[in-house]
Amino acid sequence: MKIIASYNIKGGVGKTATIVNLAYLAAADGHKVLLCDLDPQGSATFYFRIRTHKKQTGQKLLRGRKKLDKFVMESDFENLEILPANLSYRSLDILLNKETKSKHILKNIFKSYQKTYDLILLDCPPNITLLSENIFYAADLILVPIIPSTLSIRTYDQLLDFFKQEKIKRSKLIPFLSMVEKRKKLHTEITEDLLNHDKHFLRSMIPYSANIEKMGINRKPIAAEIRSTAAKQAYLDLWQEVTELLQ
Amino acid sequence: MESLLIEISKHYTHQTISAEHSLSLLLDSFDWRLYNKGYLLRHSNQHSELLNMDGHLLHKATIPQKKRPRFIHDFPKGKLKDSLTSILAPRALLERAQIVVESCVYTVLDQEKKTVVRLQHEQIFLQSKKPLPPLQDQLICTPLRGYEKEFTTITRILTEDCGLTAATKSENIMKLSLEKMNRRVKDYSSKADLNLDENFSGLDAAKYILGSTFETITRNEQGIIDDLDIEFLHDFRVAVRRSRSLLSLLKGIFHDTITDELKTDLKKMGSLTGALRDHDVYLDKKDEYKKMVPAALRPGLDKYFEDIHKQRIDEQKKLTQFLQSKEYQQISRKWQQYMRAPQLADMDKGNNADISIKKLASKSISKRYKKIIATGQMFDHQTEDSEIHQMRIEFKKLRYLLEFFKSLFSKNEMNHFIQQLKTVQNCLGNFNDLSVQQESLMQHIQAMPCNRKEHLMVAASLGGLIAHMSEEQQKLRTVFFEDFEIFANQENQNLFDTLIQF
Ligand SMILES: Nc1ncnc2c1ncn2[C@@H]1O[C@H](COP(=O)(O)OP(=O)(O)OP(=O)(O)O)[C@@H](O)[C@H]1O
Ligand SMILES: [Mg+2]
Repeated sequence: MKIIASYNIKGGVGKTATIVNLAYLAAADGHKVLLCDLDPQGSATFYFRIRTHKKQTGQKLLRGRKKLDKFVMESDFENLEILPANLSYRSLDILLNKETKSKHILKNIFKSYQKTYDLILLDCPPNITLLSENIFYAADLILVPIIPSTLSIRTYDQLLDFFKQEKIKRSKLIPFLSMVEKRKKLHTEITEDLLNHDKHFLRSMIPYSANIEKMGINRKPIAAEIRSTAAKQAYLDLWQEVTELLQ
Repeated sequence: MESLLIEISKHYTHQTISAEHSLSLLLDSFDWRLYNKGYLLRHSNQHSELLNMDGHLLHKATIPQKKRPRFIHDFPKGKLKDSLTSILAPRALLERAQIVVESCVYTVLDQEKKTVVRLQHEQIFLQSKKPLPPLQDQLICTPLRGYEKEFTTITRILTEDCGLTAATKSENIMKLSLEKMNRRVKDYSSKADLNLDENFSGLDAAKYILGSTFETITRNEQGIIDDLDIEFLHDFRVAVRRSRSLLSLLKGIFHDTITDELKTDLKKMGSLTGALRDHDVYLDKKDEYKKMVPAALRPGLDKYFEDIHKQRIDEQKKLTQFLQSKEYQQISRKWQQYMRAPQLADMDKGNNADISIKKLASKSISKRYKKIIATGQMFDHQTEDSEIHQMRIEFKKLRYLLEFFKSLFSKNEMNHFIQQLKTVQNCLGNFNDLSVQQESLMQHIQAMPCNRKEHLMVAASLGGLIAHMSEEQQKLRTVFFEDFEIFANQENQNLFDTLIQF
């Protein structure tokens, strides 16, 4: 079992759009997948049309598998199950703080799923918090969508610094370009520069696309649409590259 | 289904996901070899599946060609082919039933338009000229994890509001359809079970047995004409031979004029089918033969088999004409009716007609058996091949007798005894086949014009074959002596004496 997170300190960069599509593609490839929504906004949960249970709380999440199993929901797609999130998750940091070994709680919880799933995918809220630190230790790969803009790159540098400071394995961080607009001169310039000079960046990138935006209305991963679009192809390429990294 | 969906839509929305229609064939041989061994072979859209009687999938394979598979060699290498080979060869697969499956998948959605339950409506029909009610009509309701409450609600709607009943044990639909389609599955077997009554007279028994052999004869005609596989002719010929044997083994049942007339007809049926059967046997052994000679001689053999193949086509045509001729039709129908007639005129009866069959059979079996033991015990390594051939004929007669009359004697011992006999007989059969084959290869060589290089190659190949066969044949002599010793040991002789008392 491998754990993949979609994370960035910055909000609104395409974390959720990415992980939702990868979850679908991984399941379609035959992997048994659990998509674990850790963001109190519950956007990933929403994309899969799942209503959360009022009884599901942050406390229960931290108690581990025994308390969680009954909240796991089957998606409309084969092999893909969802552990939804709800607003109560906003207090996760306070709860984590009370625990001993507070940075490794999530890692330990996921261990009990070793035999049940091939992949656990995490949709993460932005900012650096105790929850995100937990994610850094739990995940095998951390996908970092980055919009080709100066501010966005700055937050990526901040993240790198944090990893260095905390001595977390740098190799877990997998940056890739997100919401790339070919028509914007600045985007193309930064994109070229990054791909040429930073070997850590994945070769595939997600273009800015109205179809991806519409996912909020259709409530279905764009990759699950029958018609092929540039956006769908971009997620397919991304998944292909991630699969190679998993091996 | 409509009304169910209306009922459900009072609470939920639903969506039709797919509607499919598929046709499957159930394949088996004319004599139900797969069914008899507990297998079902289903084929649709280039996919074949071997199932057991509970409907569990054992093996599957994809057929490269569009046409449905007819023979084992139509299947790709693999487990399915391996399983079929031992059971089916050399029979052809026939369509024993056609099944249509209509399947619709629906999803039931909640207010978020999220699927909460999947419904699959599956109807299975037997393909037939007049419409039949479905063999099976079921609604499969699959819950989604986390939506157990919705599942309970929907199954309640289905059972309480719509009056559906929950399925219990699921029947194996394939088996069911076979049995519906062919009201008598296993309606053919090359050796019909003969159940003789102890109180039968010789005439009753002879009529019963010949009635059955003639039925076998007529049932195989169409398969020979359509040239479906080589076993139709084989079974046809065995039935003819068995009929002839019966007449000579149980003398004096019918009046001589009847016996003679019947023998003449059977003889004709036997001799007109002989050539085709010989060709069939050779062609069936093609691969085996090719392994017997060194690679250099194989092209010569190919040429030989080409010739045989051409001759076979002619023979098959000739035989078809004969089987469709008025003359033949009259003969076979006449005797079938004759054997079925409840009463025969006194003038048709022979001297032994009214003697008890058990008595007649015991006497005849004993006589054969004693003769075989006595002759066999005088055999040694100087015994001529021709004497061994004679022995084979004796064994065959005994075997036929035992098979005809086994129902009159104690069953278990009888089967044990037949088993022992089969071992020796197989050996003798192989010995004889090798002689016949060598002889016929010799004839083929002699009949060939010898002025072309191509023919010389064929002659060389056949020569190689003959040498190999003659060696094999000598080995079989030793095997026969050993097998015979076991067959004739005191224990078996005692068993025989208790079995056949008269
Ligand atoms: N490639 C894209 N092209 C166009 N719009 C996109 C693209 N990716 C994401 N969006 C849109 O941008 C918004 C933010 O995307 P998303 O929710 O995936 O980002 P996020 O990083 O998960 O945000 P948050 O930090 O709020 O969780 C959404 O409205 C989404 O539909
Ligand atoms: Mg998000």
